[in-house]
Amino acid sequence: MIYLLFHFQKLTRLRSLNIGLDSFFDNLGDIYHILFQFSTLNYLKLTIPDNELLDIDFPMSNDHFSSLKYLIVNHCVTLNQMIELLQNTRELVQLNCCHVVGLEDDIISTKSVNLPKLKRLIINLNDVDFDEFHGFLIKLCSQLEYFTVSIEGLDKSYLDGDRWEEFITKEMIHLKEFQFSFVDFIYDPITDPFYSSISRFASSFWIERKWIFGISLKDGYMTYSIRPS
Amino acid sequence: MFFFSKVQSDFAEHNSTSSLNNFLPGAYLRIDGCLQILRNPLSNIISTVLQLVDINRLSIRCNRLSIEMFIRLLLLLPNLNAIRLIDLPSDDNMYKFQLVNTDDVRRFLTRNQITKITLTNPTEVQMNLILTCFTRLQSFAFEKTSNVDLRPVLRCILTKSNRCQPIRICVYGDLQNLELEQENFFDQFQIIREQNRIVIQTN
Repeated sequence: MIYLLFHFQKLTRLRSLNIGLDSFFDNLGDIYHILFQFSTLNYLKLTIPDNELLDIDFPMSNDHFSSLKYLIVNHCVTLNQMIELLQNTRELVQLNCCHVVGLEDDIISTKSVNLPKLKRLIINLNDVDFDEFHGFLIKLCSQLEYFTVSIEGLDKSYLDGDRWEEFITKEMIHLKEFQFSFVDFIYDPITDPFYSSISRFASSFWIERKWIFGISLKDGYMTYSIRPS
Repeated sequence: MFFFSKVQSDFAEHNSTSSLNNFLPGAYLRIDGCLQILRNPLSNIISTVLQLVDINRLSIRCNRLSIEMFIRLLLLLPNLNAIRLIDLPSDDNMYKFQLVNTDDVRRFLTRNQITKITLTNPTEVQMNLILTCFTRLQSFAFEKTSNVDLRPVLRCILTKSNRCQPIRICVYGDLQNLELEQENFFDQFQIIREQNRIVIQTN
């Protein structure tokens, strides 16, 4: 694979690359490191259907900045791995993180992320605590105009409409479109105080922006969502 | 992986052409599947959540839902204004749904404020029961597929609905063979043909 990528690097007009791997066991950082060197690449999608979390380690000195504008990370990744990936992608306009997983006791990295052109973020979270995601999001959200987040997990604090309202008001002042979904198991007992905050998703803040709150029931799951009208 | 499809919950078919993007405040509820969990409504997440949220639009698949369960659900949604019923039970089953004179039904008939309904290819039998259940309906929207004659349903609504309230019916989908203008009955109503729908209004 890496040998093949070295050959691709010679394609001086290569703008878009969509890579799908049946499986991969080595350090994904090696692949990303090479891909980030492609000087004309605008669009990159890397898909690995396995749900295994892979290592993503980059060389210590890595001061080359990628030309990528669109990055779709379609494999299992943690937020801290994403922070590492985003250290050299200043030109990003859109970022999709299709399968972000949480690690127990994972503390979000203190490294900063500089994405001054990032307008669109689409992210799917599995078992990532809101506090952890908050720490990640605040690093890269200041210029966001379109933000889509889908959540599966046990942390019900995502259902706190007031917390989202405050975050958007303070940290995402350019946001035009917000899409949110949180999947809940119907048979879970309601013990969490955040359920009482669900109604806040229908407050004037959301109505003024014409962001609709909805609930969908299907197959034992209840999905809470916000989407534009 | 997750649900983000464009949910048909905005009931835009009830808007006039000039206001297709009308925003409806309040929340929507979409139910796609069996609701046996409502058998014990006080002890589960659904009833608790529904009491926390002001839901005014409901989209529900009905073919596996008993009338008791349906009414129990509607009683949990006192602010419901618009409803979309997908896969109505057959005429035979609708006959079985004769409204029982229970406290739940009486409360539902008195309290429900539903004024908008969307259906796909309803029959006259289905429409009759719906008009009995939802007495405040003012806006009807029907998705029509081919080979379905909706004229008996339209006549049923326009004859039985409360004439004190203006009635609006929108039919969309396959509109071929829906020749209303040739029937004297429809002369008394305003019929507006647009690109992909027909709107019938009482004056």
